[in-house]
Amino acid sequence: MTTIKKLLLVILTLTLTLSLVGCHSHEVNDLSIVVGIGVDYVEGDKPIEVTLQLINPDALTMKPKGETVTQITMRGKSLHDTMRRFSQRLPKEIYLGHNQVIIFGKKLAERGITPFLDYFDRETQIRRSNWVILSKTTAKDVLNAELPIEDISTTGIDDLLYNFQRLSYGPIIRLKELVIYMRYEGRSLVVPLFKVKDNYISYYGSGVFKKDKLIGIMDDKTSRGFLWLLQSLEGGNITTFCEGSDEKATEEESDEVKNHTSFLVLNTKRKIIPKLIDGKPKVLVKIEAKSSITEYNCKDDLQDPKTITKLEQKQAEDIKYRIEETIKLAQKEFQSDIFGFGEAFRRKYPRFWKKNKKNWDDLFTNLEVEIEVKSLVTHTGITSNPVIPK
Amino acid sequence: MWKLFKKRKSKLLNNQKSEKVEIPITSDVNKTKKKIKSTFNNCSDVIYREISIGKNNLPAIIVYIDGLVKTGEINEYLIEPINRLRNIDIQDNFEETIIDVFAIADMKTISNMQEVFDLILSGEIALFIDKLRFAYVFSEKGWDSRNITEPESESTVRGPKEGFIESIRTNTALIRRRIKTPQLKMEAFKLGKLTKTDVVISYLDGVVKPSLVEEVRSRLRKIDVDSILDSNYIEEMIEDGPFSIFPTIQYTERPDKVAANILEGRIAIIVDGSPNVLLVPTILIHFLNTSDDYYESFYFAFFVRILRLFAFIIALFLPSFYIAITTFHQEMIPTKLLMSIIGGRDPVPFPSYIEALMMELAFELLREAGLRLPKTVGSAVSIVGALVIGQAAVEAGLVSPAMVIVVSVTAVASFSIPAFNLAISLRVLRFLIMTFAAILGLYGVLISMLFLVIHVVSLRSFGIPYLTPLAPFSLSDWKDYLLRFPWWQMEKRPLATETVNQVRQNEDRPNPPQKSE
Repeated sequence: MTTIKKLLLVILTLTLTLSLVGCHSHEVNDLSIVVGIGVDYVEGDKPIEVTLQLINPDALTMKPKGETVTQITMRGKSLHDTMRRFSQRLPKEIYLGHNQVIIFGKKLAERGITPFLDYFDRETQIRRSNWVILSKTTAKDVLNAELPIEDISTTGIDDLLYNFQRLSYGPIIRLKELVIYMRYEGRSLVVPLFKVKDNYISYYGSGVFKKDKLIGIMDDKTSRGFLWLLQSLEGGNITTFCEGSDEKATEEESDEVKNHTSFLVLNTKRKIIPKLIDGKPKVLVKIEAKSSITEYNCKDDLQDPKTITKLEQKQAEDIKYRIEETIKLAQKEFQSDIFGFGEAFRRKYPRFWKKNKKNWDDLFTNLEVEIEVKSLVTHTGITSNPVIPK
Repeated sequence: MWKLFKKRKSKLLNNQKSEKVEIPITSDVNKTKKKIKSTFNNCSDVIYREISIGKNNLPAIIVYIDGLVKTGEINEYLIEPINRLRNIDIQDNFEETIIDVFAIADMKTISNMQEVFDLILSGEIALFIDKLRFAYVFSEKGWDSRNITEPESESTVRGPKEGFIESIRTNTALIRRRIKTPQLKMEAFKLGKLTKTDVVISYLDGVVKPSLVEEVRSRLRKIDVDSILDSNYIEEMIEDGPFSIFPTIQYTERPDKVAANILEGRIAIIVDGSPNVLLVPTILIHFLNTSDDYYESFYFAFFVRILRLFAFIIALFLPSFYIAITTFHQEMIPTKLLMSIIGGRDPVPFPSYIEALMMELAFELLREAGLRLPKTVGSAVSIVGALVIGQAAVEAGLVSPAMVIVVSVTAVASFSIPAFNLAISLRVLRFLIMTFAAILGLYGVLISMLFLVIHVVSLRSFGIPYLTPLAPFSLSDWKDYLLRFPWWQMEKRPLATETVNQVRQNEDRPNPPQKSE
């Protein structure tokens, strides 16, 4: 082959590959950068209401003007239809590549989120790592509210949920996980839920789904109990009270500070073992928790191993109590298998699962769950006994 | 067209070719004098000194060019001894008597007039004596030249502070002083039909690959041009890949660098009138190394070399990368970084590419202006540059602050590349890649990178692939080229230069005596 032929071939190949390139050029200041999308359901012939949180470039210059973010709301027949309608009001092209959070309103979630999930799953600009959260009222409310310190509430929510993931404050879910779990058999979704109070956004708990519909709400305490069963924890707090103080009146009611002991959970191991005893399903949950003492206000000598054993027992009791409460709630109130027990049965006893798939909800409601907690207190922080005033 | 052009060119060359003419020297000194005077017609710097030798007043004439010889020494060692012969009767066979009186070591007898002319022009003294059919030529060259100073373009923190100057003898002496062995050869050439420039190739016999020396010789012999005023004339003539933007011959002003490279089996080409000595063969990595690397701690040198590689990549790709990701791939920028980029870019009315082009051109202009101006005015240029480009342009909303940072980081990176000629080619290439990036985004950057790599891999310098320790992969050469191992670990010369004698030192590092048992 001559050099000219070779050169032509190279040029031809390169020109052909040009047609494969899917992106086109646009300057950053010709884009409306979306950082949050909220979807709500409203009555009427345009039932879908989308609220976008957009970056306001004027506020980012060296001489800032106005708020950092602006919210715009549009209504339409479908999600894509509504997104297109934004161009009626926005001079710049909408860019979803930097979206952080997708928020579903409560009303919409109760009607089912599948029809809206598909758009987000299909759209090329949306990242699969977007957080999905619910609003206790409407998504619009959450986007219009603020987070303390943060200029942009949605990037604040992003940081906040990242901390949730890191320190096990509560269950969280990303878009890709949502889409994957939706396809699972024998596992219901739990999505974090936020509320708005005095124009500030705060975490409330989690929304519990059955199929794609929201059926109930757990507060943050039960959400954490749920977390114990969902995954291995790192971080997280357990507070118990000294012997003699009123055990049942735990965290919420009393306003007087009691003599309490707090533990920081260092790491946990969790195992869900499904069993079939005489054809009847039963679940054994094994939990092993290691923790460190972060606060100790009791009288017993911490240098005595017996005290530690006692504390370990108390911690185990507390953990067990929390988990039991959550399971009770899921079985009695929601009747939705958020723990994935069904999935565990499907894996271990596929034949049983095939037969009982249809009436799993009934089985779950009456499922016997045995909980075994092994607790260890391995550290006492950097001191041993607390200060005693003399 | 091309053929026609070529034909015309070769015709021209043939016309210019001058034959070496043999003009015998006549025994009549008056005739000789006439001949010289007609040759050096209108040359006011040629000095004729008529003199008579001995009792019988044998006429003689001394010819030299004023300014090229040490006049005081002519008087002392040439004219005075001749005057002392005044009382002596000059016989027919007087050559021996006369030779004894000259107190100059470098003396030759030459019978070809043309050759004598050439020698006079290069600063030697000719003595014609009546009845002799040859001339005595003395070498007592001495002209004003620059002092040996520290080379400004390649200064070091540690290490010798000597630099080459414009006089070739001084330069060869500077090398010879570093390598004291008869193996160090200094082959002389005279190139340029009118300038008759002295060119010396210097190499270490017994180390250098013989065919390499032969190649350099033959390339130099093929040069047929009327003038050689700087080493770059030769560089461009003998370079492989004459159209390549990458330099394939290295130049340096440092004698220690030349010595070190000669010891590694490379060849130095020293050109009279130029303080820049050429080194062949050259690979890309040579341009990224400095002599400081060998004089400082090897940890530091190691670090700096890696840093320079990064600088190389930044100087070439940073602006194009910035253009590509801000105009095509916004999703690649972390959200919070994007916020600050948007904030800066919001008031800017131009596309990123135009913005980058403006800034880069403004920077190149400032650099060029600063380079050509006298040093005292040069600082004024940099003040204007810093104020206008750095601050005013951003405040006026013509340029975004992020772009200022990108351009200045690129500038700093390109300044930290030690070889000026490589930095120039990177600058030109940068504009090209920026255009690709503006049209096609990162895909364009990749395409240009592809072309660049294809080109660079195809380059050779005197038979050695340009990307040597990388492209024909040779891990042992990384010791000295890419990284910098301690001296006691570099037992062999680089493999790239294919030296005949590879061993540099024994394998043992000088150690304190080991305790027996």
